[in-house]
Amino acid sequence: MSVKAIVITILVLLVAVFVNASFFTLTEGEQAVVTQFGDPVRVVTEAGLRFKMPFIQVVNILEKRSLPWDGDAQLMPTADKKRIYVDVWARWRITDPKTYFMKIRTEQGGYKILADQIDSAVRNVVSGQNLVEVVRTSNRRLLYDSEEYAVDQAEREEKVIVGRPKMEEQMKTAVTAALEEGDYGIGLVDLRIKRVSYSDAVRNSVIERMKSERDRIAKLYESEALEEQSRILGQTRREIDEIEGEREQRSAEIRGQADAEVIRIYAEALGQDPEFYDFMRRLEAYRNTLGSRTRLILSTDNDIMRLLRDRGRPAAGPP
Amino acid sequence: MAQYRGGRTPAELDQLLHQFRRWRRRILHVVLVALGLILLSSTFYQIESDSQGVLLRFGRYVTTTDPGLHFKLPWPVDAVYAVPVNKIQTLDFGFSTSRPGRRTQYAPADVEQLKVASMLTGDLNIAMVEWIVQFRISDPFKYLFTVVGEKRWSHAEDIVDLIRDASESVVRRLVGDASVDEVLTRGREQIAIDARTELQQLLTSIDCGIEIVAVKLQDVTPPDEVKDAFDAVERAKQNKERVVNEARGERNRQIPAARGQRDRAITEADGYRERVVREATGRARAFESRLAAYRQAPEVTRTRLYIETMEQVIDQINELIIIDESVRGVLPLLDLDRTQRAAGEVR
Repeated sequence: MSVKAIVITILVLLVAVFVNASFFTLTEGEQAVVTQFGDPVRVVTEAGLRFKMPFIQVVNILEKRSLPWDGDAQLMPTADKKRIYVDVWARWRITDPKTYFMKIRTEQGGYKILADQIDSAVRNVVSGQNLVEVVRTSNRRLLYDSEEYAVDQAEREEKVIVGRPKMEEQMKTAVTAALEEGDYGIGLVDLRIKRVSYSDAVRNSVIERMKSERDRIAKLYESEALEEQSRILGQTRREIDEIEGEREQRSAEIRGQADAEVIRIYAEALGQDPEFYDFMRRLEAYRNTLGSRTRLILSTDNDIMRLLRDRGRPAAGPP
Repeated sequence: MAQYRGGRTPAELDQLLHQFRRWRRRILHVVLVALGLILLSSTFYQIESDSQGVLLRFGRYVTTTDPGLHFKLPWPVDAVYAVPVNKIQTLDFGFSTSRPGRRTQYAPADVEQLKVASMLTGDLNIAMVEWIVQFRISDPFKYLFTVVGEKRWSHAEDIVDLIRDASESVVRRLVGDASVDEVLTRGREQIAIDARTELQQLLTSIDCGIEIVAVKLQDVTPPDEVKDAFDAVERAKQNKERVVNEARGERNRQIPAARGQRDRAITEADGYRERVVREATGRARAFESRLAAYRQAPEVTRTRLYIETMEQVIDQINELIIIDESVRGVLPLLDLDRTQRAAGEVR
């Protein structure tokens, strides 16, 4: 190999190293702080191929995306002295890379600062409110299967004044303010309550309460059953009485009308000659009533027998 | 080849050197061709049918490409991320499907899952809620470059962290504003619908390119310690329904019967009217006919009817005693008590 070839190779390598040291690529979702002998001189937030002073400047890549924060659940008391575990999550991002790079530098540092701020904000907000405010959102009417129980429960329910979303807003506002005040170069994207749970002691008493509530509801169902049953049977009795009354009324009316018509018909016919009717009807009555059970003692004075005694006397007319 | 095991002649060495030069050139060619092939292959990429490609040039977003074979500049200029945008992904909360398949098997719940499932209801009861979230990537660029997760294994893990946190917050908030009865039974649907809407709002506010397809509540139960009490309520409820149904049955049995009896009585009364009116009419007509005939010769008819009737009557009676006026004193002698059945008539 000739000397010339060796020189060319070395030159090419030198140029390559120089070019490599003069450019850097910034990927989407990243941002960078360019430092010169450790001193931040420039912030790059737009992705792409970027120039820097070779060998003098160093590029420090930072995250531009939202970073997670999820602390452990913390035990804390509410205003009504209930001890509960509150677990929150947050998302945060580096808003001012230069400040962040100088003051915090690592994501671990960011987590630490957030942990302190969030913990105090959550405690402050939670300790100012009753448990029901942490759990509930609105005064929406809760629905129950048992109506009796719903009425009862509605009376005992505590009114919600703040509610969970507003408390989350308060926490967010407090943390945002603290981060701005501290000027760490980080900002809060979102903060939410993840879980609220009872401490073991409270949990046990809640379980007991749930049991007794259920017992009460079961008894309510039993009495509701009797109530409903009596109501239905009473209604049934009423309707039956009504139907039976109607039966008596209508049939009596019809029979009465029938009898009235019969009376009218007879009166019209018989009224033409009451005396003849009297005569006929009496004869019929004799026929019908005098029979084998009768012992008749007649005098010869009797019209029908008079010939037995007195032959030839003319008839005296009918009786 | 001849045999030369010993020393070599200069001519032979020359030939060897020549051979080496020739081989060197060949190796160089092979290496160059291989490099060229590698370069060439890195100028093409393929996107599967369920995905989209995000093309970055020197790290900067250029374009999003659809499924198919595409050209790109070779490394290190262009880089492509394939994102499965059409794939619906499912996250489980409060339980885990250990082996998804036609017959899903559920793994036993561990402590963390119990913590996820356990939540406070609006009436400060505890309910165990299991649910699933189905999501889809709607914007591959935002999905890749908006959020980062705790472990930073991959982009897929990054987004799951956020969806998990957000979904727990949303479902708990909704359960916290409902009674235990609603959570267990009648409000489930509504909670799932609201959770989907609210979760979508939360993720949209973070702008991470995720579309929530569905939130579904799975098994929702009271805590184990109070299951018996809940079952007892359920039994009481069933019992109430049974008692009420029986009462309704009784009602349904009695009322139609009463109505039937009513209608029967009315119909019978109608029949009665029909009968007695017709009978009366008939008798009235008969009387009128007799009267008309009688008026032709009243005296003799009257006598005839009287005597005929008496004849009939006297013929039928049990015992006839005829007493003349002169023997009136005999009356007390008759033993009137002899036959109690008979009744005497004295004219």
